[in-house]
Amino acid sequence: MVKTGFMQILLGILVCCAAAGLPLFVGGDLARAGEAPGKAPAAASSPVAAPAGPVAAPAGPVAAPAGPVTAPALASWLESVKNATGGIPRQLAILRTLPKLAGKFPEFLPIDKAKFDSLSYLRVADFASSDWDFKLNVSKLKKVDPFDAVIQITGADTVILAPEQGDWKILRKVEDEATVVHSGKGPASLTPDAIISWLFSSFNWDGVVLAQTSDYLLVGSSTAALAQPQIQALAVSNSEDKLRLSAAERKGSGLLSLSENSGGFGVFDIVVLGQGVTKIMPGTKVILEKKK
Amino acid sequence: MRFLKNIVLLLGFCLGPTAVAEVIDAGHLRIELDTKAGRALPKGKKKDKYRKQWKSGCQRLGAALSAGKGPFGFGAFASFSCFRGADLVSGDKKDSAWLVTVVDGKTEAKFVLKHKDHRGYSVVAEYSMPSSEFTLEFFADDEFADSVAYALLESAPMGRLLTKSDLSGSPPQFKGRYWRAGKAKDFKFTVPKSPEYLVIYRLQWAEAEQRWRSDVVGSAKRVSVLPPKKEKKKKGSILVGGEVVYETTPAVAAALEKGNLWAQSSAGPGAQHKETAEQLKEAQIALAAAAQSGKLGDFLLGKFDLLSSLLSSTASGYVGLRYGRQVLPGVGGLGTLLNKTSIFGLLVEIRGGPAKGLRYYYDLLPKAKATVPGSGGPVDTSIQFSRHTLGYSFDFDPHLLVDRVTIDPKVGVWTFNAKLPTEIDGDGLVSNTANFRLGTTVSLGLEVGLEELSDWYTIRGWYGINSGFSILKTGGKVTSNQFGIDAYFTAGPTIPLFGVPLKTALMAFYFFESVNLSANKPIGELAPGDSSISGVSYTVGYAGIGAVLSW
Repeated sequence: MVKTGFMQILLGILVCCAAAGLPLFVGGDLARAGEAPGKAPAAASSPVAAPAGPVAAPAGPVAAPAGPVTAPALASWLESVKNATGGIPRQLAILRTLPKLAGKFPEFLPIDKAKFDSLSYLRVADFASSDWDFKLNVSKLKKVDPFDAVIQITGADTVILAPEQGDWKILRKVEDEATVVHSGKGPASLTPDAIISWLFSSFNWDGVVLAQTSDYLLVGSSTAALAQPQIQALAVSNSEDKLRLSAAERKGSGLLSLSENSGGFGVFDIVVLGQGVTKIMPGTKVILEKKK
Repeated sequence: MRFLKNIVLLLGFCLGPTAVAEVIDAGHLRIELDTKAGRALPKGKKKDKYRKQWKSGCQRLGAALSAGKGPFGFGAFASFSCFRGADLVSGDKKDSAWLVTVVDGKTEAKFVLKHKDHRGYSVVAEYSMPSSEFTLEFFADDEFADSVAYALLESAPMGRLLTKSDLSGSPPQFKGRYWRAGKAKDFKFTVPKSPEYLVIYRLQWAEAEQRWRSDVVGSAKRVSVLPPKKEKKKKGSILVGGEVVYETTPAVAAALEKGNLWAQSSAGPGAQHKETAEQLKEAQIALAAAAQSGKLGDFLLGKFDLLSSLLSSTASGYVGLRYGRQVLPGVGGLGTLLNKTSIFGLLVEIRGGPAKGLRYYYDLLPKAKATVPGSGGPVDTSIQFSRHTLGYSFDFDPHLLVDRVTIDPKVGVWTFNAKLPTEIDGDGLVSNTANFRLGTTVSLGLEVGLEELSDWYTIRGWYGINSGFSILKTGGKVTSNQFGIDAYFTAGPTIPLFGVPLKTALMAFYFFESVNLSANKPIGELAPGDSSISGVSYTVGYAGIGAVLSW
């Protein structure tokens, strides 16, 4: 939401500049050279990998979202997050192996869950507990498809298959089938930072809208990216049902500005929406400004 | 910012895999003797004895299942109470999510651990072993109680409780007692190895998903095993003490500050099920053999050695002899001959040990002769057969209508020789006969039986088919379809013979048999235009009595 008339004008100019192919953010490089999909992310201490491909700013005249600026009601906010569907990866299971035959156990990648969970809004299933849960429920899983069993046991919506040899795969359940939504070379190391970087790089976005209330958006992203003060972002149009974005799909539908952040969660103000855009749906992907 | 933190906190909850779940802590256990599925209660003084045996046995089992008091420190329950059906026998009558059912059945003894949620009970672990009328007495043996308790705990989602007070030292260690040998100077059965590694965790039951969910906090490694030592008693020695020591991590110690934890073999619940089931069966066979010989007390004191016990068990079996006469009314020359037939039967069955289920049958139809009126004067006819058969009996309890279903495939030799009337003239006189000399045939058979069991009788309905194929050129094929009913009554006395108690029983039987004989070549002299005769069929019904010895 526009805070002042001056801000409205200023942001309108920014959006127009972006549409004309001019640098969008002051001091930022959101519209930057593409990076090959699947490229290994930087090491744990490196910044979040740059998303691939250029980003087009929202087209057409600027429409400011209407409504009073009030704090979101907690209950309805959470409820909308809980029931939000679409391409929002939230709970991950990271496997070394995924057997094909029912009744066989997958092998989980040993990973520091506490560290991993602190790096982004994403949560990973604890490998030790998941492995043990398979053993505790062995009699109940004898006839269950291994992928379904992983989802049942871990509660994961997204499964990362990370073999020692060969490409890593991101799998999701699509129309009741385990589907590979991305495949590529894995990260250079198995540290939580490297895996988080690899994930966002593979997704080709920096954050995802978990909920919208009034002029606020709750966005899940990486802790490192949201740690940058007063960062701005673009909501990508028609991206709510897509797990992974191609370069051509990275078109903006709204301009956002970070107002609060905690860990991998940030509250963004909607600064401006593209023409015809009245709401940013949960699941909408977000490209963050990259400050130097 | 506080608002956001609340969101994040609650988001974590929303994003997690579970909704509301039952946190599993050491609770109360109900141990129940299933009086509906079990054998009928004995009468008179035996009834009181049986009840006392259950009370005592239940308390020993309950103690071995209690937290920290089981073998290797296993044990998961804070308290227990014993029931006989719905009747409280000992302990408090309080609600429990955990139930151990003991079925002292007619065909098998079962120990079942169940967990209850709002949907009802579900089976967590189950063990069964051959039935014995002495099963409840076996619990007088601590070693047997440990075997049953460990079998159930090893298969359960939680094996042993770990409390803050269990830990000591740095690095932190905890202990558990060793397997008990009871009153014997040595272990009577195979003692399983304590788990080398334990997983330590918190446990929940997610009812909506019907799944166990854990929060693993660490592990433990077995660092020492101190076997029990012999301690001298008045007339010998017994095994006492012994412990298993595990070492864990400070993280586990820290987690224990927040509450009790569970530990289970890292191989997973039920990973040793096959081995523990075998060990339980081994114990049951030895105990049953000792009890049947009236030497259970000596066996528990280690004075009746296992080998003798096992040999005795292997030798346990059954011999039945029976005699029956043909009772169906016969018609014509063939009927006259068949009315003169009778049958002897012998059945030997091995009921214990490795050869359990092996059966030997001998059926003999002694030669019966009849001179029947023929077209050209009196005609001699005869029939005789004998059959040696080896069979193997598979049986199971269908839990429906009958107590046991048996399936016995058989193979053997069948000698069949007969001279039978094959044609009669218009006056009903025999005009032709044929020799069916099949010699020794290879016989294949299958028998299916349905049994209703009680303490004093067994009713058995059965159907059998036997087919003999002659290897002689002049031979042919004989097929017999039989169905019948046997009734056994354990009415006789028990006779000791060479130290083995022989039980006697009486039996009555009836069976109907349809025999089909076919020859390899046409029978008799054919007149031009006659069709050939390829065989003869007849039906008989034998009723009779018999005697049975079992040991």
